[in-house]
Amino acid sequence: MQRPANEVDLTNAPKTITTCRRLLSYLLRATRLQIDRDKIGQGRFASLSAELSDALIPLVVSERSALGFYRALCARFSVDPTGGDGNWGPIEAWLPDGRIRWDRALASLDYAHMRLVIHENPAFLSTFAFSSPCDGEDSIFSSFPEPAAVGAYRPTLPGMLIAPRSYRTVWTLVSPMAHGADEKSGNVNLFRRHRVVNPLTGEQAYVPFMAGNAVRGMWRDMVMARWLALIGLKPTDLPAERVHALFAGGSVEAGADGAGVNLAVRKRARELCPPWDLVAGCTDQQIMSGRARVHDAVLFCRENAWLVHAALGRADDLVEFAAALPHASELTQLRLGTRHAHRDYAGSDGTQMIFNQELVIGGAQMLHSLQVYGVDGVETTTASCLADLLNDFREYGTVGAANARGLGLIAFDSYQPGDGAPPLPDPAIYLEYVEKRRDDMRAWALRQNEPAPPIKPMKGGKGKPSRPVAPLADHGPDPAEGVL
Amino acid sequence: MTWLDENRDWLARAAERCRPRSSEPLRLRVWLRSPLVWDAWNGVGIDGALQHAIVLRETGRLADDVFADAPRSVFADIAVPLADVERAGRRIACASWAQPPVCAVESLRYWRKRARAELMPIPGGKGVLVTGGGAYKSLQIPVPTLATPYVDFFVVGDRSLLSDLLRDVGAIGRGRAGGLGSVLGTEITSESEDRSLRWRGRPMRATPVADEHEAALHFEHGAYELREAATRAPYWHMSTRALCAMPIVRLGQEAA
Repeated sequence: MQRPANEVDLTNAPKTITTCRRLLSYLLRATRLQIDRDKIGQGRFASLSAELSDALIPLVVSERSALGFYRALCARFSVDPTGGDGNWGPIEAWLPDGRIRWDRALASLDYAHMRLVIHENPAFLSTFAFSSPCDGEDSIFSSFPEPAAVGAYRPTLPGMLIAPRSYRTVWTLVSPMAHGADEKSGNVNLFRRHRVVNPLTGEQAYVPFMAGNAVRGMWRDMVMARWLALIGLKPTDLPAERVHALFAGGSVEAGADGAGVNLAVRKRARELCPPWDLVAGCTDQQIMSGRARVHDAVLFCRENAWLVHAALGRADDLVEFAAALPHASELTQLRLGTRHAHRDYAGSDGTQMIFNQELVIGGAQMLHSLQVYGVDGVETTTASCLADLLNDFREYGTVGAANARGLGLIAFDSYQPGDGAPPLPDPAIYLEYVEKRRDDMRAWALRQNEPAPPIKPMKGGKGKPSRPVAPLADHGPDPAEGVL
Repeated sequence: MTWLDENRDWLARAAERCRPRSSEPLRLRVWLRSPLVWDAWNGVGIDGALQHAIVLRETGRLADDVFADAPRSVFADIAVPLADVERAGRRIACASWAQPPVCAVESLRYWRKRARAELMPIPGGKGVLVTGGGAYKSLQIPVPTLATPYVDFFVVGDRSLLSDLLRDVGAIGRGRAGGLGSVLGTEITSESEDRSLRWRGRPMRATPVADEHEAALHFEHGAYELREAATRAPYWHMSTRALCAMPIVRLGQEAA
């Protein structure tokens, strides 16, 4: 391809997601052409497109500006954008309508758009960068139209809301917090994000959050472990199926969806295990719903300002409130981690590792809430169990991953009932109930005094009975261990 | 005693309390605090969520417990504060599917589940717990979602009964227990025209039709597709299935 004769001036060009995607693609192609095999080594050079694709999201997340992003990109691939190491001068993106120097190209890019474009599909950008220029390739960018909201967007904001009855609090992060992203990005473990649309601006952004399901899973572990401790059992005392049901929600085994519904079994489970009534799952071939509905934790940031403002019922001006909050991108940082192989010790078979972990910074705040299905009709013991769990959670004060390394410490006031939600009862009710029904609860947990499950016909086995996996009725603790 | 006999009291109570006294065209703007599980093939309805709230209120029990032992031949029609109309011999609620605003975008959420192998007793025999498959398999399942600040439902119903009931509609769509489709709050506003069933030539919800000629008579070409679908909440019940004109939902389409 010939160097375009004219230089394009994008100073006054519209800054849209489509123009950002296009210019960034051409700039990455120009940059890729400057990567020197001798500098980075044959091994990396052979899988360069994959490395570029993997590196883009961590780079755009860890930097705060287009210039910073490009510096980090060039450093990673040992590229000198000034052209000092060759005869070609500074890097230029060659577009069909002319050429533009890298710094001018970056100046015309909106970094929020860059984040969005890269998050959307880094493989697209890498593929374009590594493809050879051809006629008509530019038309591909018009195939991805601009989001409809951009342009003549009119803010649409919540007015008088009929809010569901819920319990909420605000977490303040005492230490940075980790919560793994959905997809891997090389050796960088990013924070979990989801796409949001800000009704104040109509713009989209990828914002860190903590999934309600993750909090629910953590609460499940806590409430079940505490219940077992109260009745004097350890998880390892229980049959594997029961442990799996209590701590992971169980699994829908063959026949569970069509199995005869046993109301007595369902009632007994809810009655004898209040934590089960709270989070439930599938046990004894009964698929059951729990009472607790746990929401995502919402980061206090400009993109979520409308949501936080409405949820907390703040009376101040939303625009001012939003302006006072930082952008989500300013609330994360990368932390370098290493793992040593200790090869100096004989017999060490460890693996040497270096990795980065993206964290939400300490001091950030998150809004968290939960609801109780049928809050008026819930059993007092279940509601009391929830109160006990929330107290326990407050004392534990930890969320997310890597808690052993000091991450994820939080502080918060107790969960407060929102409009119309009744206050939760005293946790002592639950503790007294457990004390009173302790023996029955132990028997349920250990699956004692239950009939053995029917032997299911094996799939495709011409009616032969399947081999029982493990005896269920007598799968209690080993008396030799002295647990009972 | 049959299931219907056992549950007749609260069903009658619900019918008395929740049947609309007066109906008017309304827009329910449901503001969301988290993404909504999204399936353009089968849209998100509000009538099922209202029924769920009614069951909880009237029985104090979770709906899956109440209906767990209901025979499949029995269809319990739970009253909601929405007007009904008859289409092709089927009664349907005057309630549109969720209509996303033009700024809504599709997204993805992974649903994860991890077997707590470290808590399990050592299984008999081999002493190995398989988490790559079988009953203790750990899962990471992608769930298609919609990132949107709100969705609109166009209904014909009783404003005051809906205002009260919506306090117990905490989430819509699937994946509710884990935080998806969480409702921040709902706004109710009056509408000058009824858009609950049809608007600008397209169906706003699954609408039963006798045949393709009837569908073509009511809806514009290209605005619907014909297939069998559930027509009335609870939508899981097989007896509610009939030939329907189904909306073709396209994101970015103006709903209001």
